Amino acid sequence: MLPTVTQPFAPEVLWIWGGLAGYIASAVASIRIRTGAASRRAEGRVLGALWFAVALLAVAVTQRWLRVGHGPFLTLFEVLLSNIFSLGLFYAVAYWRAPAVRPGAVIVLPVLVVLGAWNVTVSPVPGSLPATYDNPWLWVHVGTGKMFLGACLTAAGLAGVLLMRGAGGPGGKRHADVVAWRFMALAFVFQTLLIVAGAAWARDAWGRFWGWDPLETWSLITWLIAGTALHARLTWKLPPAVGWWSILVVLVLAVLTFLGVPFLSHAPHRGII
Amino acid sequence: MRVLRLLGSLKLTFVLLAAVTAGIGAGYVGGLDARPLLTGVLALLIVNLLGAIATHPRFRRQSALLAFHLCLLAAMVLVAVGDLLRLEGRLELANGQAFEPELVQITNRGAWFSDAALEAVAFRQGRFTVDYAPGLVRRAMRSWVDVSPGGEHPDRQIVGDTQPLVQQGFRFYTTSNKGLAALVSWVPVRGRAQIGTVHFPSWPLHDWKQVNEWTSPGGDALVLELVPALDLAPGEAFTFDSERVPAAGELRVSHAHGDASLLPGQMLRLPGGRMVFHGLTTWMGYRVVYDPTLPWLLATGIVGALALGWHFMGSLSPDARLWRAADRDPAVRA
Repeated sequence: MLPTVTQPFAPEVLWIWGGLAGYIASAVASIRIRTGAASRRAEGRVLGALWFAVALLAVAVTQRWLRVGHGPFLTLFEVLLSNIFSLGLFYAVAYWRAPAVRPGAVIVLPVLVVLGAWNVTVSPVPGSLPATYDNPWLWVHVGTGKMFLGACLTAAGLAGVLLMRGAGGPGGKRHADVVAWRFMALAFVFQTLLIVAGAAWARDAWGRFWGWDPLETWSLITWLIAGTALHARLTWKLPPAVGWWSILVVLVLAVLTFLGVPFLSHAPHRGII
Repeated sequence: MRVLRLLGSLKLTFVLLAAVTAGIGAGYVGGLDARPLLTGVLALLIVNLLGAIATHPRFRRQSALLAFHLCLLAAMVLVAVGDLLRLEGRLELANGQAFEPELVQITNRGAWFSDAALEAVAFRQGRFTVDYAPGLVRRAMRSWVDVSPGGEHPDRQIVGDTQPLVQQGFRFYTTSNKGLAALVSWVPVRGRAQIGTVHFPSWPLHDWKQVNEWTSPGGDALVLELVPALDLAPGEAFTFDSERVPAAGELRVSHAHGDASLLPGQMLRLPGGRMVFHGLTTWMGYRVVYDPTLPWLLATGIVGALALGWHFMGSLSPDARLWRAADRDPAVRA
């Protein structure tokens, strides 16, 4: 007989389930549009479900913050929660204001569903905020990180559908390619600021601006690969498919860096807190 | 010009960027010492970037792009210069003790660092407090230092987890390394008495082994063990206050001729002289860092990122020239 594992209850998990349901509804609607089962007019339903999910996740983030007394950026549960909220918010705004990104929803929204499903399976036990986290640079670091991941995911969504030979929408393939790279450029700018702000925080917190810890190292590797990909796109006749693959590689590295590397241990920048 | 073009070649840029990435990967995953490789490749990247800026007309047309690459160049130069000027070290100061350059244990010294720079630093250690959450989880730390130790009135400054003491460009950070010390004086058979402290391992992390070795000025090798009268309740939140440490600890001394147990005020006779135990005090551990390039590096990073943002802002239109490189490709035009 298998042992029964009881997960400690956290009230914000209920809101996360609601947000996850919103993402699932949004993803299903986008796939129906993509497969021709629904017309483009159903894009309103995609956006509506997306906003619904983001609103519920905003409640979850707020409740968590008030309950544990610090921002949601310490444990894997909190990092996942803040990311499914910020990624959803970023993508909702992009979907609303930039119709060219909409074909990518068939990739972006399932990714959000997977992250949300992961979130509800992770222990919600709160951690203790290290004293070194009480620093204004941390907010810049986290904020730019969210913008980086949001722009990167949006770019990767378009790159993915371009690779599947299916970037329809206004302007066609050429426009989708340019929009994907514009979001990649935006991601690179925020990633640069993320590293600069992280270095400034590290200097105040630990007396060094760079320490080659796993998170810093993988973050730099991701930045170098993103920079190389952008450089190649802007200066060479890079085969488009190679460029789209490179965008996907950057996203995978970024997700591993943000959600993998720090949680092979228990907290971001483990070992130097 | 041809040499410059070769040095500023974009193909070389890609090779060098790949080498940097591979070097970092080899250092991280393979555990190899990639520092010489990275230093060499970064030096080549500086040359490559200089060549590119000198020969590529695009940099003259797009000032934001030029600004970003100049910032990259400046950042690489600043990191190299910072490495040469840098000092990193550790320092332990007992309660009431004044800073002296000799107390700094240097862990990393740049080739251009001058020891004379430390002479101008002056402060004296005062009280410190450390908050603990239940389970001995360290929270906020505050250390009071008098930054005018020779003055008539103390000029106290609080140093904390993210608030270093900055003097003459040196930054002193509190660390989780702090603890208890025995205040002892040594009275030699002939000559003047000296007073000082023997620091014990970090407390409360090592509260179970408050032991240290000390060789007296008279040449007696001693093992000192502190039995502090401190109640530690790991399940409760508490604040460790250096001024509330009870002086009434017990000091056990082992030496070649036997063992002894001293209470505050008691004395031990040894072949080289007499050791008097005055009681318990505390010590605070600091991390010392000196790198005058850091503010410039931060400014360079921010300006570089903003310049890059400005450059891409100019290309927000999908028809902008910036993105046209791939347009000729039929796979994209389709």
